[in-house]
Amino acid sequence: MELFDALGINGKILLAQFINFAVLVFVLWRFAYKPILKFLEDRRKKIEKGVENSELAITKLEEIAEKEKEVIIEAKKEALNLINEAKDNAEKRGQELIKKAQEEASLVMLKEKEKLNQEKIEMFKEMKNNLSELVILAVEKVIEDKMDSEKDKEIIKKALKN
Amino acid sequence: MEIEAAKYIAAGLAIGLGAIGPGIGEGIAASKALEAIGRNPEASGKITPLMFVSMAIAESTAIYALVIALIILFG
Amino acid sequence: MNLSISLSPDILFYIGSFPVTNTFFWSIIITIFLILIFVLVGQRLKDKPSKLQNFIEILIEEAYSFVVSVIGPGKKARRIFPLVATMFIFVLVSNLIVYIPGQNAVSIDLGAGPVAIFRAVMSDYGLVLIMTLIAVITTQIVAIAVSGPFKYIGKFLNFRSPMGFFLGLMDLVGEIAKIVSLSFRLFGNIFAGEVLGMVMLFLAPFFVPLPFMFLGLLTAVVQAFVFAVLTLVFVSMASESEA
Repeated sequence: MELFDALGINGKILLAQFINFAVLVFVLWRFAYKPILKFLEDRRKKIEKGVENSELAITKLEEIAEKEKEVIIEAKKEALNLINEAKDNAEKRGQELIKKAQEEASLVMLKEKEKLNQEKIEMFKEMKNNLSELVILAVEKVIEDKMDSEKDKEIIKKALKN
Repeated sequence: MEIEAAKYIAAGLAIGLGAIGPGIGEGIAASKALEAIGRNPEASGKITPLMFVSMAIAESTAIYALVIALIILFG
Repeated sequence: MNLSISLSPDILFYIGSFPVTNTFFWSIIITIFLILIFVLVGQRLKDKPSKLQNFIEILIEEAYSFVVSVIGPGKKARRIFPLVATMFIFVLVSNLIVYIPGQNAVSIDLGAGPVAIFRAVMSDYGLVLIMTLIAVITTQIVAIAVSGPFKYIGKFLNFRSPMGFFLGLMDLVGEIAKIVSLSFRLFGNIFAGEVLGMVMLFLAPFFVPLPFMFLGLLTAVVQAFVFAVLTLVFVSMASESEA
């Protein structure tokens, strides 16, 4: 056809153009579209995962914050309990100590009293002895003469007993 | 009239007359598409490619006229 | 008036008996250019994308989502995507390369008068025809694969009734008309743009061609889009027919 000649259509060029275009399609598909589409898909998945992860992290953070609050509340309660117990213990101890101290003090006082009493008694005894001697001496001095000691003693004893 | 002159006149007439219809048709298609986009601007992404495709199909008639003109001139 | 408008691409030189036309020469250069850029990006994908990688990523992602929106997600989209995307990118780049300024003036003289080295690649009807044939044959293959070979032939040759026979013939004509309309649309638009630009430059070299150049830029993008989308639509129609 003359029209084809006028349009410059040539079998060899057509074949060459076909091969050219086919190679272009194949190379672009194999080495460009495929990796790029895969890359885009991977990136889309990555972003999706990232968003999911961030959401998960946020919920976990919230959970952790709640747990923290609970833990803090519990710790406060425990601390309060501990303080109360400690106070109670301290009061009890103090009272016990005071009691013990009081008991000890009373014991000491009793002992002291007894000691005092004994000393008194001993003092009395000594005093009696001394007195008797003193009296004897005084009486001897007053009387001095003619009285033998045995009679004297008897007299003094009688006098003292009375 | 020489046959060569008649050929040129025929080719000119063929493409000229053949371009009238598609010209009007494409104008109508474009005006309707723009109207639709004006009413619903969010749908422009869907309307525009469809408009181009339908305009291209309406253009086929002009292209047949062009082919005929070329055949008259060179065939 | 030395306006040289030729419908056919001019032959630059011969390799053996193989004529190398200026459009073929440029289509080879564009092919190498595209392969270089895309393979470079595709083989060195980084998590922090460079500007070029970003651009190509956006281009491919948008193209893929468009293909999915037309043909539906899954295997079909993944199978047809390389062909359609390559058609779009190839046609777009070869249409836009015309607007590199100054290239119209370069020509060489190899005995038979001056020949322009640069010519809009898509104004070579042979190349457009080949791409159209690839698109239409792909469509037929998809149709055969979907509905089976006997049903496919039965669609065109229907002897059950005269009306059916007539409609079958019309279908056959329609398939051939697809080739003609698809190829001549792209060829006609780009060739007309070339001729228009040349005429305007010839009539008034300053400022007057500018609006036509803008129009030509629009045409370049729209025609690349239309060519790819029509291929896509044909294929998706074939894949959905009587499925």
